[in-house]
Amino acid sequence: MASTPKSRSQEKQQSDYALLDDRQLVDLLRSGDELGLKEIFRRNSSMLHATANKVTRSSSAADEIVQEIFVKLWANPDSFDPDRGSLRSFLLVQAHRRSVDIIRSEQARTMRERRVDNAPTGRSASVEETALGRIELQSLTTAMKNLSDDERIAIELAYITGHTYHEVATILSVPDGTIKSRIRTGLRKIKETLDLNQRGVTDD
Amino acid sequence: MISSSHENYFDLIGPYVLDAVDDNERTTIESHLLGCEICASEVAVLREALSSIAPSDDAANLDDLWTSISNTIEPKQNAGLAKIHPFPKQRTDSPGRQAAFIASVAAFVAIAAVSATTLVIDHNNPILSSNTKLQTQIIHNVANSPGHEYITLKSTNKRLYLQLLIAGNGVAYVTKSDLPSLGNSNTYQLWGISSSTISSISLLGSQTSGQVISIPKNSNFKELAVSQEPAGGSISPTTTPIVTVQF
Ligand SMILES: [Zn+2]
Repeated sequence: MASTPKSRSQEKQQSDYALLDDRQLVDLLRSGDELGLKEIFRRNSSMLHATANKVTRSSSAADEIVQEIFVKLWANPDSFDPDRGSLRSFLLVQAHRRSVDIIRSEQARTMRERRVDNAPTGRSASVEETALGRIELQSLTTAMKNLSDDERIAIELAYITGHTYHEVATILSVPDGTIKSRIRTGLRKIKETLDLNQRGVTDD
Repeated sequence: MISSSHENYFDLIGPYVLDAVDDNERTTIESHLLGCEICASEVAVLREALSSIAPSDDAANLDDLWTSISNTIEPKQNAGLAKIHPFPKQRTDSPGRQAAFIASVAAFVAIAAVSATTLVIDHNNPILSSNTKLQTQIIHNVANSPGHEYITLKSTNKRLYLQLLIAGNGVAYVTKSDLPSLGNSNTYQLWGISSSTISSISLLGSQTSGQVISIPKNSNFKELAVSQEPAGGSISPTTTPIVTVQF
């Protein structure tokens, strides 16, 4: 039912789009409807930008990442499969992965430069210090409150700093396996808390 | 080096979801995910959870960013084939692994790259449809090959779909489909439509899932379509396409 009466104003049309679900919006992209993309942007851009910004610590890098994601989605809406998850999650995966790729290559460059001039630049000053310094504990929602500190720190370090679990294990001086299981247990707890909250709200 | 046991992959799912694995691990996990529903659904579940707690900066004014995106995207009619079409990535210098893979596929499947007048296709693909291990192996290979791409054909009411995983070399695999099974007297047939011609690409059999096909090199298809045809196929479509995709 994604008809868009031409007599209505653009404002009105855009507010109609707010009622559409992921699948309907992506169908609109297929038919070349830019307002569909605008609605997807309205719903997700703040989250995508904030995540990219947090990881890359660069607002302009975050701009580029978000732009790239929306241009790609517009060009190839079929890359999103509504049966495999939400559009929000699909877009976030791309934003985060792109951000991590950027800081990892930045890190590699910084390491090389550092060998040459020994300058104490941001990310490589002290791996542990820098990584921990970037964590913003208050930023995370109540869904994280059931996590142990160990689990929370493992997840935050891995997700926000772009370190691999192996690097996180090194930073925290624990075995790789410990970090892997802290991350998994933590993510599972987050999911369970969210499920509980949802049940409480929707009374399903 | 990661062993091939499922447990080892399952262990890596948490780090993988956080993008906290290295590139080699990422590749290995992603090929495991194609063949393992348990791990794939765990990834999906954890990603949803993660996306619910993603930060958001409500103060940020992203209007300029939208303007920039809006100015960048092209109107759909002009969305050039080159942008999203996988086939131009085709190179003659394919790696040995890929060449061996194609040979092995060719040994089992009659690859159809036919014009409208020559139809020589083994549409039953008996070995492939009965050998899920081989299918899994093939899909891993395709998904690891350079320039691969997923393309989904859909019905106009969006209810039916057929997903193709297409390698950079044009070998394509029906990864998912909900087209209903046909009786023995009918087959699905895949068509490539360019500005002036409609060519048969392949018969897909009476059940589309698990089919491996080859899309002709340097094709200028603007559209792919699947129609239902009498067993043995038709020279040109005799029924309205069921699912289509436009480039
Ligand atoms: Zn598995």
